[in-house]
Amino acid sequence: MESLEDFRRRARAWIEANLERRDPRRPLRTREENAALQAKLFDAGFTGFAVPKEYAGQGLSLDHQAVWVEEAGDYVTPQGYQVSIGMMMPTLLDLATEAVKKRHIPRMLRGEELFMQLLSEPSGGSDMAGALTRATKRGDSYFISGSKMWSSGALNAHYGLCLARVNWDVPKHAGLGMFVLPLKAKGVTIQGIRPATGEEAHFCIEYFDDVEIPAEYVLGGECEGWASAQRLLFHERNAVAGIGFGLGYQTSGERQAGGGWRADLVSLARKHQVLHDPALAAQIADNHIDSVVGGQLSARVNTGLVSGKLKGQWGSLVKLNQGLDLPGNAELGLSVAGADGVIWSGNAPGGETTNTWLRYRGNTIAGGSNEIQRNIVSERLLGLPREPADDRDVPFNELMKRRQQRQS
Amino acid sequence: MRLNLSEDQELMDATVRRFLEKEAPIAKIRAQYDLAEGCARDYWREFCALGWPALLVSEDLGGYALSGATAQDLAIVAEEVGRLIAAGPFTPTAVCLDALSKAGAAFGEVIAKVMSGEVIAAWAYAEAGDQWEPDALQTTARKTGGGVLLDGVKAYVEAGGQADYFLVTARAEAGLTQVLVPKGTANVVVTAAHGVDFVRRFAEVRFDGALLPESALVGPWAGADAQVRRQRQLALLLQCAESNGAVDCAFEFTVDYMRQRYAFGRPIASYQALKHRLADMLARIQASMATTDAAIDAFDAGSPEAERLVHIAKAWVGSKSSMNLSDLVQMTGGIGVTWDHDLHIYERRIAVNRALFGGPERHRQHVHRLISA
Ligand SMILES: Cc1cc2nc3c(=O)[nH]c(=O)nc-3n(C[C@H](O)[C@H](O)[C@H](O)COP(=O)(O)OP(=O)(O)OC[C@H]3O[C@@H](n4cnc5c(N)ncnc54)[C@H](O)[C@@H]3O)c2cc1C
Repeated sequence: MESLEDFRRRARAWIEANLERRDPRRPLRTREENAALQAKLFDAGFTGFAVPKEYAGQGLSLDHQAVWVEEAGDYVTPQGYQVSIGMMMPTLLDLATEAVKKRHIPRMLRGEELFMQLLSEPSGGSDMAGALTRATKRGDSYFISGSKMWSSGALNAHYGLCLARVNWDVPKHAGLGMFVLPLKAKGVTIQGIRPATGEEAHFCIEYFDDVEIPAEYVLGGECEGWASAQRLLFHERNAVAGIGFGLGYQTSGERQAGGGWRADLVSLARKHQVLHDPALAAQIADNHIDSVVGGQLSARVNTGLVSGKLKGQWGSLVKLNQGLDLPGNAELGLSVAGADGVIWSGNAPGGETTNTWLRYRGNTIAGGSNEIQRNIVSERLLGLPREPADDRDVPFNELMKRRQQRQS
Repeated sequence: MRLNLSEDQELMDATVRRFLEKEAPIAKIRAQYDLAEGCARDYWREFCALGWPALLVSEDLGGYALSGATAQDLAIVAEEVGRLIAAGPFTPTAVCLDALSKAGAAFGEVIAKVMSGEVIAAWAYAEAGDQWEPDALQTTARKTGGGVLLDGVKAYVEAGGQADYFLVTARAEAGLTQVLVPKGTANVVVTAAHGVDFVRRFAEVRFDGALLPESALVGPWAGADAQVRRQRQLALLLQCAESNGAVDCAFEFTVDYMRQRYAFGRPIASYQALKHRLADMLARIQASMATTDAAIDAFDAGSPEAERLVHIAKAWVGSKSSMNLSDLVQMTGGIGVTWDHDLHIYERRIAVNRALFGGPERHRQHVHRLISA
């Protein structure tokens, strides 16, 4: 395998010759620009570093990916692939059939096909194993009916990894399958959900009416969907935390560990001339400390996962830390901007601190809420006993009946 | 502890831990509460014999390098010291050796004795009124015909009552100066102070025109500012590593207790109200280690970022460590506020570390100064 030093030299030379330096004043690129840039990286051999060559990856390692991210840090790299390449691609790598991997991973890496996740439902997101979407086998295909919700990027994506119930007569975790669902297929209806910021819809609700999925598009065994979902969530938390395959795919344009939308309050305070305001100074400093330490925590966890000292869902710890840090950041933004953050004259855009505040809860809920991360950290990382639950060993049908009785 | 230790570092860690578990278990620390010296000289010599003091000394003066990154290696020892609230002048020894080694061969003999634990050196730096900033120091050094004259009062001097030598940081007109003062020098008065730590002892050291020969100068006359800043950073980093070890250990034994303690028919560790607090705490503990290690790396690399990162580490660790301990006491219940429970021994060390070399609030102010520059 190419040594890290050789790789670094080669990557640096290519980056200097082919990429633009990052400029914070330049607006985010359009979808087309990002796609072109992703294809350019793919064609030059700078994507899928730890993906085997047979799936059009580089056959190198995650350490190479880390080197790439270091070298490319000050340059413009494609945005918008965190989910597809950072989370879904490694999930396919772990679980998909050979034919599906050969067909789709190259297209994912080139940015031609976007994958996303279909886990949460209108009836619930935290309790993902309670999915009500139904998968019925007929011949060599499965047919999916039901509804998913909060699905980020569904309008532009080509495939979604969909958790659906195959068997209703076994306990809830044991009856699920994970399917690669074609979003452009017959029987799929997608509607955008407008977020509280009033921005364009980025998450959606989907209705599935007998959507056909060939058997080779099941991830893991027919009733092993829960384990497959765990794998997916593992990659998701890593990507959010900026570790593992997800390193470098954070959604924010900042070189910030983690994908959370975090305002730079030092610049904001300077702009509003309150950087030295005695009522705010200590909080602004603390906020800077939190942001630096958050990045350091992410780097530590990454080191631990690479060295093998840490095993398992440590991405959850980083995600939790972000979930603790972001609310403070967003709220302090309101103080820093003061009245000028909520009321402004003239036609220039404004209200960004309020928008951040409206948006940050997205990061403390999406991908498993803070509370769910705390459950994971305490139960899986610390090994503490679970709360008693009465839904685990009962056939799912029975559970549904009980619930109806209780509610009536 | 850092998550990618080399084999050598792992070995040193295991050696130090084994030694401390055997020679300085918490029951012994308890027994030393009333000991004026804090710890026996024999213990200190044996602890030094493990070799860690030599990490601070250049090879020509008898030292050696483990990884070559001094603070990184020492932080491993500091964390183990913290885990068991061990006794002995760990940080003063490290700081004094760093200064003496940098000053060169003239101090070879003292260095060898401090390294072996035969003598104890204390850093007489801070001054009364919680003064930890180099700019605030008022103790003066003046050159006279006969040598160097020291005037002033040093406070919060760790191991001051046990020290055979004092490394005194004083102000000469043009800049900071450091002087090595042997115990018993005329016009030097040492008064033991009281403190909350079980085994760390502190003193006030008064210099009323103490006269030292010029050969006692450690480093250049009026040119020690950078070295003093370095010493303060080193002390802060070791302190953070030590606090991290202490909190990590208290976390471990408290969580174990919570698994065994039953309330309402099940272990208290199964209640979500407590589990969620432990999850938050694990994040704070891991982040404390992360920020300490990042600052240590910058320090070892001589990076210009070191200053900001050290202030960040102290601001974070200083405040989160006491927050963590408070929470652990709460989750332990009544037994956690008793003398016989170990938690207060940890709380005391954490409280001392929080204050020494400036509380988190002071360091947060520095962070503010640096980010708004
Ligand atoms: C911006 C955004 C993007 C998203 N993108 C996607 C996506 O692409 N694909 C997808 O499948 N989903 C997506 N989601 C959905 C997300 O995963 C769910 O919103 C989340 O899991 C919570 O589910 P819920 O909204 O149904 O809330 P609920 O599950 O109803 O939870 C409500 C509250 O109860 C708490 N709670 C629930 N269970 C417990 C428990 N056991 N212990 C303690 N507290 C508990 C929760 O923390 C929360 O505070 C997205 C959400 C957002 C906000």
